Amino acid sequence: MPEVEIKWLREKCGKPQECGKCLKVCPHAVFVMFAVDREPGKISKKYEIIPSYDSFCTLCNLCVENCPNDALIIKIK
Amino acid sequence: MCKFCLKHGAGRKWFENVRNYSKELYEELDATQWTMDHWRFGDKVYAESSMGLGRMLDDPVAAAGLREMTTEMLHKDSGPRMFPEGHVCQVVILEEAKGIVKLAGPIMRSQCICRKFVRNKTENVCLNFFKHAEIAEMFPDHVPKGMEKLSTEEAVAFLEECNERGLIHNVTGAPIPYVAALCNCSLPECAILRPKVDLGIGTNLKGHHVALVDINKCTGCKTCLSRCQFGAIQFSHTLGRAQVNQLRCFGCGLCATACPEGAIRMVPREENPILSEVW
Repeated sequence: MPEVEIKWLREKCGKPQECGKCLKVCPHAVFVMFAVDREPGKISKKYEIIPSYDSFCTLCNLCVENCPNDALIIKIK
Repeated sequence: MCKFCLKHGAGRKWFENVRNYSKELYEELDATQWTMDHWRFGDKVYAESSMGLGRMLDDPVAAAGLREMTTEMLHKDSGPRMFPEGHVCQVVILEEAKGIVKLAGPIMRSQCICRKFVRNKTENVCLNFFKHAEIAEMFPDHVPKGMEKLSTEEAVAFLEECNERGLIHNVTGAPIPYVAALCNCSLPECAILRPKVDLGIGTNLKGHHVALVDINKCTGCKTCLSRCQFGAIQFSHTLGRAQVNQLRCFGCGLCATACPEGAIRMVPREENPILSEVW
């Protein structure tokens, strides 16, 4: 089976916590969002996205199509 | 009874032992830092440790022992532990879930963080208890509108509502055997159920029951089919009825509570010599 490589481009992505379109459209819940700056008493500002379940990707391309910032690139290895 | 019941249940299931809800136990486990790490880094730990795991497990060389080692780490149920060591959940049926909220207190209903970091969706279906709730409240990300305190009766009614909605009742050992929370989960969002179901990693134990269809009562309506989130129900077009694949069944009971004919029974897993080894 072909291996899928999903790249999330930090510099193009806006604020995942305000968008999260890729998280919502993916039929296999490939993406996971997490805060990198979480501290007690503060609302986190910096979130990142990892395609944690990339081996479940079926190349439907919904994430790429729905990203308002073109922050996702999918390649087949 | 599962291994945690035998070790920590004092003759009952581990989540039926009153001691496992106590301040005394929590202090003995010295779990404050653990709980802080859980709320502060839970999403990061999940995202990073799941990354590429599927592919690694497909490779027999890389996988050798990986599944077992990770499971052992998560099932560590004594001694000083660093999150996520000792973080393990177990599926429970509605009756067991009601028993849990009757022993737990205070009960705080809050946002399910799994649904937040997997779908960026806000859904207040998680029941956090006592120390676990207290520390969660230190992190505004997890409690944007605070937590809602529920009475036992309100919690019981809420569980019935969640069951009707088809959500899986999942009791959290955090760290096990401390009963920290009871969530109402859905797949594939649940960060504890998913690694178990999709990757075979011991993040979540199956419940103490398995579903059994009474073939004389089943009318083939397929209601149970849409309820099972584990893919454990098969419909036979030849026989016109549903059957449960008991090796896949997690014993959540959602099929049983929805069957209009009352054709599904939840039977104790331990009564079956084969299934009593399948957790």
